[in-house]
Amino acid sequence: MLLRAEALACIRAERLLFSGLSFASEPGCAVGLTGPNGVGKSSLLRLIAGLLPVHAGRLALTGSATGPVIAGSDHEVPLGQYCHYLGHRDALKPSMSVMETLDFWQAFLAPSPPHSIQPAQPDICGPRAGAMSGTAAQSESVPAESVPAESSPMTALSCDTALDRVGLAHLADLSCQLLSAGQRRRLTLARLLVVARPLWLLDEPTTALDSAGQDVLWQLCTHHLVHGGVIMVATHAALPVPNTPLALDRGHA
Amino acid sequence: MSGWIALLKRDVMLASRLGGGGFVGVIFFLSLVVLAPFALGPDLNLLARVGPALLWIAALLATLIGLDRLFQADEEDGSLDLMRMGDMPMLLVVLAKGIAHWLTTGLPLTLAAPVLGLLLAIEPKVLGVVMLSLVIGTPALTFIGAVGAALTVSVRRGGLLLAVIVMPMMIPVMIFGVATASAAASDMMDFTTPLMVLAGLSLGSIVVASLIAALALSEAS
Repeated sequence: MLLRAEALACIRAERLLFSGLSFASEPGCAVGLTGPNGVGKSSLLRLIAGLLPVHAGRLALTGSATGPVIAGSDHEVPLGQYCHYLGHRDALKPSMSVMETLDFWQAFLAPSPPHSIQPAQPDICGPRAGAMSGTAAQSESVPAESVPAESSPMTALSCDTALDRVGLAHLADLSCQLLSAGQRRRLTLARLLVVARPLWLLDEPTTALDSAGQDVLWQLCTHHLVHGGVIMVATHAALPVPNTPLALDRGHA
Repeated sequence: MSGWIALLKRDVMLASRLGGGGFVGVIFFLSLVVLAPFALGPDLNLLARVGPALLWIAALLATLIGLDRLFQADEEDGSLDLMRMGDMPMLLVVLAKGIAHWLTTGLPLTLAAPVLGLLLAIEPKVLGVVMLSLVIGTPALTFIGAVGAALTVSVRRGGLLLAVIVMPMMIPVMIFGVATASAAASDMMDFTTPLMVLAGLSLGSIVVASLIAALALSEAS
């Protein structure tokens, strides 16, 4: 699946954040969104998620079996239900346990339309940046065609498996109130896994994560990319996954 | 459908746990009604006459408690963003959250009403009708309040603003709620007429108020 944006413009509080912004994701590569504070990185992610109106331009998510999904100022089809949005606010309730939280979001978000995606061709966008840990490197070297169907990113994991994947299995019954900032972040990562959606919008995903947690995050991202998903990451750090950079600057306004 | 039920269950669960504020409304209802005999004095005839109206005023105020957090709690922690992105229409989200609010506020205070009716010297026959009017009328209070909750979702400490917005809209519900009880007490007229109007108001506001609240929530960003 690929995400393409043409001449996007975003207005917040009557202030033009950016306009004429065009980009396209490449197969197997994340889009690494960089730029100074306040330039509109989060707003761009929220705009793609359908949480902000598209002032001008259009967005297309291509490669699904049902044909391209197009959103934009003249198309009222929100991309929201194809996206996972991981923002600054983690949507966790202090009085619910880890497992209850994940169960709820799985039940609530699950009935999305079936997505089928084309396998991406890895190794298109040049050398990998940064170091990969073991599992991630392995899953990368697997050619997309030989990947068994059940490990496709469009197959949602069970809550237990997802918690295990992010290292929270032993805390399933703990209330979210007692989680540390990093553990909360891991729980939001588990939410990406229990519902299958092709487009991940990650806003500063490494915040509060320890180095092991960051390894888990990048492994999950690599897995998603290799299986044809699309990822857009807003970050200030170097991305250890293959990515096409997209630098926002004030010149776009 | 399972997602809708999951949301309803989550909201009932959150309201009934510590800090959820679900049953605080009932306690508030209780304290308001218990105060009345002390304020009005031990005149049983007077209490019996104003009793149904007192129960309705207390029910209205108790419903307002916690309404300001109906959508705001989810807006603040980002849950509402995820709900906006899901494929469930906002209308169904509002319905689920409204019903959960009624189950944890309107319904318990209806069930508490007979006990309090005794304190106000309301006759058993009238008390039954008051309960009936409360169970039919409180959903209207919740859903009219949901409009205010949706409009003030991003306003810090918007509780007072919410009360000011929704109280005028609750007046018709109040009028026919109390009219039902008065009709039952007077024996002069049939109480089913105001009760039917109350039921109509309730059904109408569930539909119309949900639509308005859903619209307000989808626009907010």
